Amino acid sequence: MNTIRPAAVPADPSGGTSAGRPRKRLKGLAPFAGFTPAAVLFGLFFIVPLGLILVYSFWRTKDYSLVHDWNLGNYRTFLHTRTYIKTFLKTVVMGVLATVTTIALAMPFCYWLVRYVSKRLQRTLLLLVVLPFWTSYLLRVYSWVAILGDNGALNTVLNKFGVTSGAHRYLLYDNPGVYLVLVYLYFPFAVLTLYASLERFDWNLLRAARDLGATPAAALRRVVAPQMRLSIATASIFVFIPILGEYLAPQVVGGTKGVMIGNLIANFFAGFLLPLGSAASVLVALVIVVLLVIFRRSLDTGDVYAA
Amino acid sequence: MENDTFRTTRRDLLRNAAALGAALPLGGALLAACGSGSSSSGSTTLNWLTWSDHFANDQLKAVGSKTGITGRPKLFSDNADAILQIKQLGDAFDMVSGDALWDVKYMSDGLIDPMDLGSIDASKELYSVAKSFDFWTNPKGYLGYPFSWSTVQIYYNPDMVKTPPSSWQSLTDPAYKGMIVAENIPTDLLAIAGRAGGVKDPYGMSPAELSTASDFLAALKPNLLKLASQNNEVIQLLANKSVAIGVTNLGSEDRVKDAGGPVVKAVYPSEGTIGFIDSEMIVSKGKNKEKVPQFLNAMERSDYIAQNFITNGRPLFNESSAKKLLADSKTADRAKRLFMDQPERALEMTLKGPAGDQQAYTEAFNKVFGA
Repeated sequence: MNTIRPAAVPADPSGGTSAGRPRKRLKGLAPFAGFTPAAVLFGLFFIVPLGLILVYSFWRTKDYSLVHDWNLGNYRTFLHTRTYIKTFLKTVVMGVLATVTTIALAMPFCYWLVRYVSKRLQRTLLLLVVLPFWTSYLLRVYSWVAILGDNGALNTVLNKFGVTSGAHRYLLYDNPGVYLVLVYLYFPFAVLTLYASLERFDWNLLRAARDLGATPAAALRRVVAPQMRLSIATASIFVFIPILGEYLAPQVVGGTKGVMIGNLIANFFAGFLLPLGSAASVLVALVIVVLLVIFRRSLDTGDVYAA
Repeated sequence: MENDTFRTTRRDLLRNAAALGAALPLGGALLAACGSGSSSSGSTTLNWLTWSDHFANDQLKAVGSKTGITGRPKLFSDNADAILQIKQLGDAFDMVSGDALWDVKYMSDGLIDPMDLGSIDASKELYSVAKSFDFWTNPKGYLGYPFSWSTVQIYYNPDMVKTPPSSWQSLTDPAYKGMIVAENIPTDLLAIAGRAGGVKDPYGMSPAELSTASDFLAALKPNLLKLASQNNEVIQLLANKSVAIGVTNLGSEDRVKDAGGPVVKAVYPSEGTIGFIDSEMIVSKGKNKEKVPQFLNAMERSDYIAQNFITNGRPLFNESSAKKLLADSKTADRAKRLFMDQPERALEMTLKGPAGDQQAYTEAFNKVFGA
């Protein structure tokens, strides 16, 4: 049944009544309703702190007090100090190495899981992959001290089999230790992302490629890899970006050689150099934004087989 | 009909989302309310920014049930970190622990209220020297309730070290590569480096002195296995023989032994050393600051302090507890060895305090310990 509009009400040029405009506007907002809780959380706990960090980065400290003196001195200090730049670059290199290794390990694992393991066992194995998440992050990092330490599990086993004798430390308190722990910590993130993509893959495409004469390597490269681009990019983001801000792993297993930029930032904050620490954090965040912009192209799913 | 149902659902969704959005800040406020102040039952919770060796959980429980005042400790490692938290979140804390000259900094920045020691009955148990430190004496009262003190010195494992260290400078010997651990406290490590270079005021070094101190730390760096985040990590690394040398507080030989570790020996560095005299302070903006004296009165009793000495092994300023420890054959040796009966020795070391130029100190440290 149609509703008849009363003739006395003048027509709105936009097609509605003036009384109906707020309602229409509200209707227009309705699709965003689900975003409200996320927006509140995002605003309160991300945008506001980020804004504060940005503001602080332009101030300075004097005698353990903040001086609201707007300047670029902190950025200049950071960018002109060789150690800070070196530490930052080292963090990026460590992040790249750990990300590449994590994905290189996760990819064949997921491929094997999807192609050669029954659905039931897949679930069990995936559960094992995410099992470490049930314990605290701190505990997961500290467990490596118990494994690689002087009297750790690895040393005990090697001593038992006569490979070594006495107390030996392996990789701990150095860069390789940090690298190993980072790969361990972020492996589940890569697995979950890649598995979700491979699980939905239509393997008939691979068979078709083989039927049409593609070698196994070519079929993987030209059929599977393009479809995996999105998930590899996502996995890289999930692994690489948190590594840039890592503080605990280098603190616990890195020793004085394994320091990353997060540790220097922590020292700045602990030493009351909030503005300098903030400037360093903003620079790290900027690098992340640039990387996300670069990765954005990989996230474009328009035509996965485009040359 | 289908369209109407959808519209209703969407409205509900909008309403629920708005309600959830509003509930978040309310939830935050509720959590904040739970986190501080007095409960309807009359008990009070004091938020206390402190070190892990200033209390025992059993002690807090016992004091809570006796006085209705429960201490809720939040730990920090560096005085600079603590003063930052008090400045930023002053009203979130009622009490803060601090070292010697840091108390003066707290006072000059208007962050603490001096206290009347005489009004706290437990203070009768303190050594008189501890109640009359010049740096804590203020016309408005005493800046902090004296707690413990210690020098920072060298401990080494004789089984792992051929030539025992004798000075700060000796720690840069390449023979000690990767064998040393110290706490990650930038200002204090630079002060030690200043001491190693013979600087008279290691917390107020000139740029040239700071540069020399940085050179010392750069020479020391290859020998440092790691910078520990807490003192108990230093003890743990000495106990499990991951390191042979530790830069740590008095009494560490006992703590290492108690942790199942080897015998370690103490060395008082020939250049002299830094050390702390620490205290509990009343935070000016603390919501329950008026309850702090009553809380301290219960917490600082000799039985608790004696137990604290046994657990943490560095001297405290409670004379009554010292007498008890010295009278007990099980603890007398340790109490004597660790100067429980000689509080005046606390004034022989360079007292910990804020750096003259904090930015220069932290930057100098980071430049050495960065990649």
